[in-house]
Amino acid sequence: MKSINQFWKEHGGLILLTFEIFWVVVFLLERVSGGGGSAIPQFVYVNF
Amino acid sequence: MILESLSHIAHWLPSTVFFSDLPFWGYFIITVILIRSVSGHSRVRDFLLLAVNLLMLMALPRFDTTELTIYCGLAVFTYVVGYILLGDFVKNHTGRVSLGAMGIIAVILALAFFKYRIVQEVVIRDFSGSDRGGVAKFVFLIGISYASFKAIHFIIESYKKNIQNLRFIEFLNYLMFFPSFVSGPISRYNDFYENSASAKGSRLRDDLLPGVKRIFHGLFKKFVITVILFPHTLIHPKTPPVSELALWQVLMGLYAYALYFYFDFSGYTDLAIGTARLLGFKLPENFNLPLLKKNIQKFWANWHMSLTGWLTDYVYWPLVRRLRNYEMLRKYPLLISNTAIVLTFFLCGAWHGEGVNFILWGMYHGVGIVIVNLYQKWKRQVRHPLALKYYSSFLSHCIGVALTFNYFAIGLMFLFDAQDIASVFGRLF
Repeated sequence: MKSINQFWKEHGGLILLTFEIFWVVVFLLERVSGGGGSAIPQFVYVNF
Repeated sequence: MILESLSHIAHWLPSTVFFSDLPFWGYFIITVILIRSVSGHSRVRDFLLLAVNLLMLMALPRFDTTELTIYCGLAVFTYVVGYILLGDFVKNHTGRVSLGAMGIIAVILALAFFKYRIVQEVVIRDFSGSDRGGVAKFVFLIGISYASFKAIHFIIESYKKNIQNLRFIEFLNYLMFFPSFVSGPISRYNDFYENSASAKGSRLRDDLLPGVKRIFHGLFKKFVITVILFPHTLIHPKTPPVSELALWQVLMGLYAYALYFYFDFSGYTDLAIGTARLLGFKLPENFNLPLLKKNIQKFWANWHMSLTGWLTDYVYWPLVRRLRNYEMLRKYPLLISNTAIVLTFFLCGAWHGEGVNFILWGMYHGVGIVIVNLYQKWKRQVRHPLALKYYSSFLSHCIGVALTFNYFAIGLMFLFDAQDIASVFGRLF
C-alpha cells in the first residue's frame, strides 16, 4: 500500500495528464471526423 | 482611430469563442510567443498585452467596435473616478462619498442596461417615445458582469485609498484581460498589478508545465466530461419536457445538470487560469471541490470563490456594518448576519438572471445558509458523547455531502420555467 502511494505521488500527475490528453484527443477526433459524438455545448457562464 | 484600426484587423481574423474554438488556440499560441519575446521590456509588453487583449475581444462573436468603445468608455470613466478619489482632488468627506457613490451607481446602471432585456427595452422605449414593448433588439454585452465587478471593486478600493501603483495602461489590461474577461475569475487590481510586475521577469519554462497541465484539466472537463453528461441533463434539447418525466428521471436529470454545471464552469476556470499562467499571470482560484463539502455554507465558500469573495467584501460586510448601527439589532449578531446573508443572496440571484426564479434561487441558497447557521448554533449546545462522536465521524461527513449535493441540485430547478418548477414541486410535496 505504501509503495502504491509512493508511486502515485511520483507519477500520478503524469498518469492523470496522459489520461486526460488521450481522452481529449479521442473526443476531438470523433468530433472532427463527424462521428456520433454529442455536440459541445456552450459554456454555462458565458451569458451571466 | 486606434479602435478603427483594430476593427480592420479584427475583421480580417475569423471570429472565435474563447477556449472552445480552434482559431482561439492559434491566436493564443501567437500571443504567448509575442508577449514572452518582449517580457524584458516592461512598457512594450504592457502595450502589446493591451493590443492583444483588444484584438482578442474583437474576435469574439457579437463583439465589434461599438462594444469595444463601450468598454473603453467604462474603463476611462472608472479610472477617472478612481484617480480623483486616490489623488485627494476632493478634500471633503461628503464630496468623496458622493463621487464614489455616483461612480458605483453609473457602473450598476451600465450593468443593468446591458444585462437585462427588460431594462434595455424600458429605457429605449422611454427615450424613443414608442409605446410598443419589445421593439428594440436586445444588445447583450458579453463580459459586462465581470467588468462591472472589477470596476466597482476598483472604485471602492480607490475610495479607501487601498489602490497602489495606479497606471492607466495597467488598469486597461486589468479590466480587459482576455483569459478572465468573459467569465472570471474576478481578480483584484493590486494582485493583478503585482502579478504583472512579476510576470515581466518570469520565464516561460517555469510556467509552461503548470499552465499546460491546467489547460488540459480544463479541456478534459469541457470536451470529455461535460460532453458525456450533457445528454443526461434536463437542459439537453432532446430531453422531454419536465412535466412528462417521472420524478426519479427529473432527479437524475438534476444530478447530471449539477455535475455538468460544476465541470463546465470549473473547466472554464482551469482554462482561464492555465492560459493566463502561460502569459505569466496567476489568476485567483475559483473552485475548491465544492461538491464534496458537508454543508451549503462550506459549499458557497468553495464555489465560484472569486464571486463569493467579492460579494462578502462589497455586499455582506457593508450590510452587516449598516445593520449594526441599529441599536435594537446590536444585541442579536446572528440575526444581523443571517439578514445580511439573505440580502446578499437575493442580489446574487438577481445578478444571475432577470426573472423572479433567479431571485428565488438566490434566496433558496441564502435560507439554506441561515438554516446551517442556526443548526450549528444548536449543535454547539449538544454535550451527549454519542452525538459528539457522530458529528466528527466520516458517516456524518458523507451524509452532509449527500444532503448538500441534493440541496444544490434541487435548487437548479429554479432556473427552469415556472410551469416546470410547479410541476416538480407539486409532485414532491
